[in-house]
Amino acid sequence: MGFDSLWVPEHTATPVHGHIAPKTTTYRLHLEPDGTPQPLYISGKFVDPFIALARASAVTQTIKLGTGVCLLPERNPLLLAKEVATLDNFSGGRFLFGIGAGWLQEETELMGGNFAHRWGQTREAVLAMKEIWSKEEAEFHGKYYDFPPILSAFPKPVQQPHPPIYIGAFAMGNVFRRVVTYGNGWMPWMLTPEQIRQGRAILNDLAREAGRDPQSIEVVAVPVPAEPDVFKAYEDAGADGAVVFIMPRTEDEMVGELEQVAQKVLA
Amino acid sequence: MRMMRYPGRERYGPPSTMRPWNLQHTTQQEGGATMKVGILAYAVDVAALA
Repeated sequence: MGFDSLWVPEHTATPVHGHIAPKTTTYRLHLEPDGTPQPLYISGKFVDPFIALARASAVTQTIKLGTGVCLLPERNPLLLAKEVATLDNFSGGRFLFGIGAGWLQEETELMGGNFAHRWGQTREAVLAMKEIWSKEEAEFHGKYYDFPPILSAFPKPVQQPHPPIYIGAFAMGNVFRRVVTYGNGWMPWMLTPEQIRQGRAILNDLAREAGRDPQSIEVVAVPVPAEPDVFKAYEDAGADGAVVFIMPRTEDEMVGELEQVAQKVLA
Repeated sequence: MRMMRYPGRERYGPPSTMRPWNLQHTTQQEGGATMKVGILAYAVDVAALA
């Protein structure tokens, strides 16, 4: 149909009881009496993105396959580096590595992450994986991850030095500096075209300061309603890509939704 | 199981209705967008892409 990419999100284990920032708001995952799930409930039922994308890679030839996004503090970077390398090989170099630090404190901690320092862990995990992907013998010595020379992640990723890394984060704090320092793209969630425009401008400035070509950094807006005028607004704001969120319940419905989206926004 | 039901769709509507998109900077032009277009999906059997 002409879609560029398929993205699969991640939540490893959504606690039934938790907090939504600010922490004064508590929640309990539940179904309403009529069976309707509260919005967060559905995030506890995501499939594993790497298995889903590996399956997709076996039945497609050209579409790129991305995690949207993989929560790094919740995963072991040694294992993750190997999974990424394997998937990039099995897909013929089509993997897009969307990453994030997570926003659900209870989930991060349940999986062994340090929520207060989740971006520090994310940064180290990326740097450690880059070592693994690009070197025969890799070692890393950081605050959160520390390992001696190892052989890992063979064969190395098809895309060298590594698959593109898209950092999923709102336009807050140090996100733009992180993108410029160790990423290849910015993948914000639910931002308006104006917010994208502002973010693109900041990225361009920081990239030039760092001696990087601003055009080497992609901005991918997620999710974007499949309406031509909305797409045009994001494109004018400087987005390089837009991702449409679909929620089909049957295979026929999925095909129907894809055809509708394609008809509306694929030139 | 090939698909996971998402009954919230009836309640909350499709994603495009979940947020008041800021279109004040929309520029109406002829022709389709040239951005790369991706799909975000979960709980769907991706083999259906074949």
